[in-house]
Amino acid sequence: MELKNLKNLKIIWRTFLFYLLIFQFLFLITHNKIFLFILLSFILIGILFPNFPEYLYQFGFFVGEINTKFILFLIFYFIICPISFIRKFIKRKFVGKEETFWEKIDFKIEKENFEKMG
Amino acid sequence: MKPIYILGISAFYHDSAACLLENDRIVAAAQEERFTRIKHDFSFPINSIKFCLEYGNINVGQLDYIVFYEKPFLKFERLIETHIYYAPKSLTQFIQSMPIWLKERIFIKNIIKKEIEENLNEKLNPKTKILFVPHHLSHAASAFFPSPFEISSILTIDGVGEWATATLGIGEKNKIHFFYELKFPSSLGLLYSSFTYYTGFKVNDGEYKLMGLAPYGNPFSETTKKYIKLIKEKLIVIKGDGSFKLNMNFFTFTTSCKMVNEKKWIELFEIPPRKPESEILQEYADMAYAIQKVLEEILIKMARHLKNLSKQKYLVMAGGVALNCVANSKLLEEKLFEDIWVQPAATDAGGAIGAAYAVYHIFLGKERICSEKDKMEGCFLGPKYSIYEIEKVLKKYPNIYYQKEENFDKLCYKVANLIARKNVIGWFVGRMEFGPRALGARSILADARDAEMQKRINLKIKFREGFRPFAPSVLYEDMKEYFIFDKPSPYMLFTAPICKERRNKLPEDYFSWSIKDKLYFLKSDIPAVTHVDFSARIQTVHKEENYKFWKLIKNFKEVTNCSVVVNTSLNVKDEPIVCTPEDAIKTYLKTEMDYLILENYIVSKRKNE
Repeated sequence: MELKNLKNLKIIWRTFLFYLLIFQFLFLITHNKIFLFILLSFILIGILFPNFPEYLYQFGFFVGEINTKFILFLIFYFIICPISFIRKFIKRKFVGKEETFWEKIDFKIEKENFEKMG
Repeated sequence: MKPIYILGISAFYHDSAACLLENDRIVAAAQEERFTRIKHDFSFPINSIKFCLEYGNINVGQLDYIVFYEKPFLKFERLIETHIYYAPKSLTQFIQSMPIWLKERIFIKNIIKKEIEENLNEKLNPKTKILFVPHHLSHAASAFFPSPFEISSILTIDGVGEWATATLGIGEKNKIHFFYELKFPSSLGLLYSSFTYYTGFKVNDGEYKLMGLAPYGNPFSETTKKYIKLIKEKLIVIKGDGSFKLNMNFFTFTTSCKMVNEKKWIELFEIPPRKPESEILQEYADMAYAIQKVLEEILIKMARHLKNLSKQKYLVMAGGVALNCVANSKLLEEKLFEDIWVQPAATDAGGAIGAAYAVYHIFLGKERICSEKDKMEGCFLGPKYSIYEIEKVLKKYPNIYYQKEENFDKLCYKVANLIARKNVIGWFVGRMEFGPRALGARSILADARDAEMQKRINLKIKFREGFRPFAPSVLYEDMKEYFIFDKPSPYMLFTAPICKERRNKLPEDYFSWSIKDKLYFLKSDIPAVTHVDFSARIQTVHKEENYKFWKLIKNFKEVTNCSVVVNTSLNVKDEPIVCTPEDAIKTYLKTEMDYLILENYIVSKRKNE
């Protein structure tokens, strides 16, 4: 692993353990020690298997990828598709009837436009 | 008065590049692929930026403007609209493209800042503005502002930018005005790329191979005629003004990674897509011929329409399609315009130059001063290496032998003799070219009179398809002795027919010959640069702009009485053109090239040569 990524990994690992610690403090109010148990287990595994954080990171990355795809899948079927069907229903166009396919350019090349990203 | 420094950037599609302008002078420009050694590299051009700043001897803090060559939000809008239009078929594309856009590309301003500051270890000046120029305005500006014309029509055609795929406009002094545009998915570039894909070449890379294959097609065969008819009847609706619409039932580039609906194309053309690297059958050459003819027809119609709109004498062109030198020459032959100037780096790489010029002339309103010469500096805008740097690299390779020739004129004479004795030479001299063509700075040179040379260079040096033609470099003053052409062509952007008296008579049944037979038929007295239809992608070499290369060819003429040499890029198949002396030596060692010239050094694989 590259040095830059290794540094990031260490930060992520420490942040992860830190959050577990915070959760444990919050849960102490209810006398639940589950996060303390998880925290200690991870510290122990981290000491016994130094590569563990990397595997955990890769697993997290994998889960993230799947999540992203799943969310995009939902967006596609619940937002994109309905819009598409409605639009197709409203705008039924026949190809080849137009005299030209050239379209007038509707933007003016002005100074202010240069600063906009769109 | 303090000069204005503008850094132009193109990235994230193909051919990333950077360019540095000092007022209206191009100080440096380079494509990222040359540094990373990844062909058509689309990553952020940090190496190119680093080179441009070093060459211009300025630091990041001195930059007044940084400009990106397109509008990311408009492009994102086009992507979303396309996904909506083609839903539910566009699901795969949607899932593939969205994460990249949402995580990175819509935050391009931050990426530019972060990449530059992190990689160059310098903070951007808070006063430095980051600007954005529409994609086709970048192309139009890259064509018009560096051109030698004060007023001219502008035609840009490529695959796609934000929405536009082609634009018609006019440039006058420091202003550009657009008349019309064609919008995605009606794209001439993507139509041509679809055929590139179907004939077994890589999209965004193999288009020039398809163009080179077209002359092998039989113009008189029933198959070719049928293909032209099918394209015009089924794939595309062409109007008299050059506008057109693709029949999207046959194309899938909006919904998948494949360009075409293969099932429908097989039914239509009755041949399957060619597998990459497989044998090229005559049908594919006929197909290449057919699409080339259709492209030429559309281009001429567009140009005619533009002429009617603009009423101008001159035309400038940019966008990937403008690299189709065969079509450019057909346009020239039509005599619609007195002269045509094409941006030599017409693809997205040239967008970096265009974006920077657009800021200087349009955003800042600076005056444009025209001269007879264009502003491209012969395209020699890349890095160059000193004798000491070269010497240092040479010492790292104990298996090569080298000798230094202090006097460059003498070196040219020696090299001319070597070429005359049928040697193939790697020529690494001066600043690297910007754009896809090797113009005599990073070139492989050989004797154009040698009948075996095309085969030898293609198969043993470049390791590429045997049918691919080579370009001739000819002394400008002797051009008319070899080619039917009457204007300068320093950037290899036009083709010209070989003079009739130099051609050998064709057998009557020549057009029905196989591709191989056509290739090996001796077509002229400069066979290595004569394509099967007697055309050649000509480079005229001018004493004032390209002295060292001119001197070499001049010496070659003195030795052989021939003013033409084969000029092809110094690289092997699927690699970018070499950039550094080390790249050149590596390429030299893995090929059967005979000698390598590194500035004043003659490098050889054998001792005492």
